Parts: sequence; C-alpha cells; structure tokens
Amino acid sequence: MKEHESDEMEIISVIQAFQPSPTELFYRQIAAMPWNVEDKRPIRRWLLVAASITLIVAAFLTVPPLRTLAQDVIDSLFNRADGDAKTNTYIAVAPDAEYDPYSSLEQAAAQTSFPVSTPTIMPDGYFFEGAVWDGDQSAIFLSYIYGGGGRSLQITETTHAEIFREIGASTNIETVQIGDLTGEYVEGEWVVYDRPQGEAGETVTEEATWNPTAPSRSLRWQHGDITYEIWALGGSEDDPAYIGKEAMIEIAESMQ
Amino acid sequence: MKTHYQSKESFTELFNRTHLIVFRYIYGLHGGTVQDAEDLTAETFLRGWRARRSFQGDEDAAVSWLLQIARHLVIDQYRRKRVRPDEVDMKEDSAGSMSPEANFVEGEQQRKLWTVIHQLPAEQREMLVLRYTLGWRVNQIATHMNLNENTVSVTLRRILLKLQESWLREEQSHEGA
Repeated sequence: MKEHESDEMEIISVIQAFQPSPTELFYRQIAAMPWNVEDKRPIRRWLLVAASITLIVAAFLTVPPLRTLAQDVIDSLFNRADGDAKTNTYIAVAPDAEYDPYSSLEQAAAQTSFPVSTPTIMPDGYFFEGAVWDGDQSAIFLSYIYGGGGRSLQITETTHAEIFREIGASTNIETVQIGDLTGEYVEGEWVVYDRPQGEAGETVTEEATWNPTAPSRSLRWQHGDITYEIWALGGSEDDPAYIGKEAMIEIAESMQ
Repeated sequence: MKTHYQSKESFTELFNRTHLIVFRYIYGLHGGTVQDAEDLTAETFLRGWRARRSFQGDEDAAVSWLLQIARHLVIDQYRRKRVRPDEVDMKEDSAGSMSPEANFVEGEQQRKLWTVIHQLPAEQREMLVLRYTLGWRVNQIATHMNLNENTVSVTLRRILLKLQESWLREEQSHEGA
C-alpha cells in the first residue's frame, strides 16, 4: 500500500515538475495579433463592413421573389444509407496546425456562381468563423462557432444537392415549414467509436454507426436551384447555447 | 469583479496573466509538438479576441472561457481532416495517439510518463492537466468540466492507478529490452 502511495506521489511530482513554456517564436506570433497592432487602416475595415452589407442586400435583391412559389418537389432532401452502419476508407493525413481552410465571406462569395444567403440572426455567443468555397462541389460553407467552445453551426449552400452525406437508414425525417418553403429536419450523426490511427498516407478503414441521439442536427431546404443546410453540432437542450430545431428554422427564415 | 476585455489594453493584460495556463493546458491535452501547442494557444487568444464582446466575467471566468475555446480547438483540429466531416468522433480522444515531442520533455522519466499520459482518453488527460499541471482544486475542475466533485476525485484516483500500472509496464518493458 505504502509502495503504491509512494509511486503515486512520484507520478504527481513528475507531472507537477513539468511546466513547459512557449518559445520565442510564439511571442513573435503574438506580437502580430490584432490586440497588439495599431489600427492602421480603419477606413478599410469600414469598407469591408459596407461590402458585407452590400453583399447581403444584393443577395436579397437578386434572389427572385420565389418565396411564394412552390419549391421543386423531390422525394427527400436526405438520402438514406443502406443501413445504420457503414465502413469508411480514407487516406490518413498528418495533423497540420497551419491548416486553415477559411477565408472571409467576401472572398468565398466572390467565387460562387450563385448569390450567397447569410442569416440575419444568430444566437448570442456565436460568431462567424469563416467561409470556404469548394469549387469541385459548387458549395459554400459558412462556419459559426460558439465563443465558449464546444458548439458550432455550419451553413452549406450548393447547386449540387448530391454532395450531402447520407443519413442512417432508420433515421426519422421530419418535414418542417420554413417561411413559405418546406424543409426537412434530422437528428443524429455517424459516429466512429473506435477511430483507428493511421500514419500519414496510409489507407485507414473504420466503422461508422448512425447514432440518432448524437448531438448533431441538420435542417435542409431548397430554393430554386440551390440546396441549403444548417448543421448544428454539440450541446444539450438544457444548455443556453444549444441550437435546436426551432432556432434552426428561425435562422433559416432569416436567410430568405 | 466583473470585467470586460474589449479594449486592447485589457485584453493584453488578460493574455499576459493567462497565456502560460492556456499553453500548458493545450500542451497537456493535445499531445502534439510545442509548435502545435503554440499555434493552438495563439488561435485560442485570437478567437477569444474576436468573441470578447460576448464575454463578461472575472479573471477566473476568463481562464475557464479561454480553456473551453482551447479544448474545442484541440478537438476540432482532429475533426478537420476534411472541411466537412462525414462523421463525429464521439470519444473525442483521437488526439491521444500523438506522442509528445521527445526533446521538449526533458528527462527520461518525464518523457515516459507523458507518453503514458497521452494514451489516456481526452477527458482524463484534461482532468490530470487541470489538477496537477495547473494546480486547480477539485471543485474548480468539477465546475469547469460540469461534473460533480466526487466524480472528479474518484476519476483522478483511478487515473493515477492506471498511470502507475502503465508506467510500471513501460519500465519493465524497457528493462526487458
């Protein structure tokens, strides 16, 4: 017993003794952060704000008043997988701390072939993280993140509805009203319970299971040729930052 | 005392007081290289800066807020193998496969122990780092991780026992080699 306690104390003291500090490079990086640099171009910032407003207004003006027209009727906006389990195979990549896929909304929207809709409301605490334009999939992704962490919201707009991932075969698809449009709402996510670790470049095979209670919610709808998805990840219903179905519908309505 | 960190001066002060805490937390939780931990620490403060208007609280609350951002970033980094992941890793412990940068962790004993620590699930690593690297009290950890104090105490005890066993195995395997 005493030997165990002494081992335990040794472990604790070894952990406590390790107090790493950042290198000089880190402090150089921090010196360039926005709170450490002077606002040299405040006019440019206002131009960006003005450009954002113009873009949003333009999106509203260029989208035809189709709110009253019926949306294209298709079987479902969600495709079901063959079952509630699937096997994924992919090539492992090395973690890359430099990897940042995001650009500004303006930069991403400038590349799209369709007007980009942005929400005019967003729950408190969420802020815009960045946008990604994927030309191969003809899709723009707008990412919002909760300041406290752990929860995020992603909006996808695309002319290629087939890019969206499948859902588990047993998933309940709920039809919802989004203003004058009809949308579909789904809860659940593919979950990998035991993710294998592969060396970079190695082919990895993993088993994913559809979990209907996973903290992941998707709302999809179509307007003209464009399919939209709002995807809320994380949180539980008693969490003030939780974005549930009703909140997602309100966000979707604010995009019309 | 409730504080806003909206001005550059107040945010700089917050950075000066808390960046070592955030860096050590990320380094312990992430298990990657120093460069990774530095980049994630910088990103944590950048996100904190962008979201500063949504936060109001004292310095303890600010630390907790920054650590939540950091935790999200560490987990998120491993989710972003593609822009749009096909599924979610619910165990959130995929970071555990990374090895600490050997030359940064001085001493064989330290290196071995951190190798073992980085094989623990993310939640246990986080608890261990908060308790012993950052010196938080059990009640602070319980509040931060939304657990009750008893769960934290019992889990910490189990982690230490698990570390003891793993460490001994590590020692024996080295002796046998």
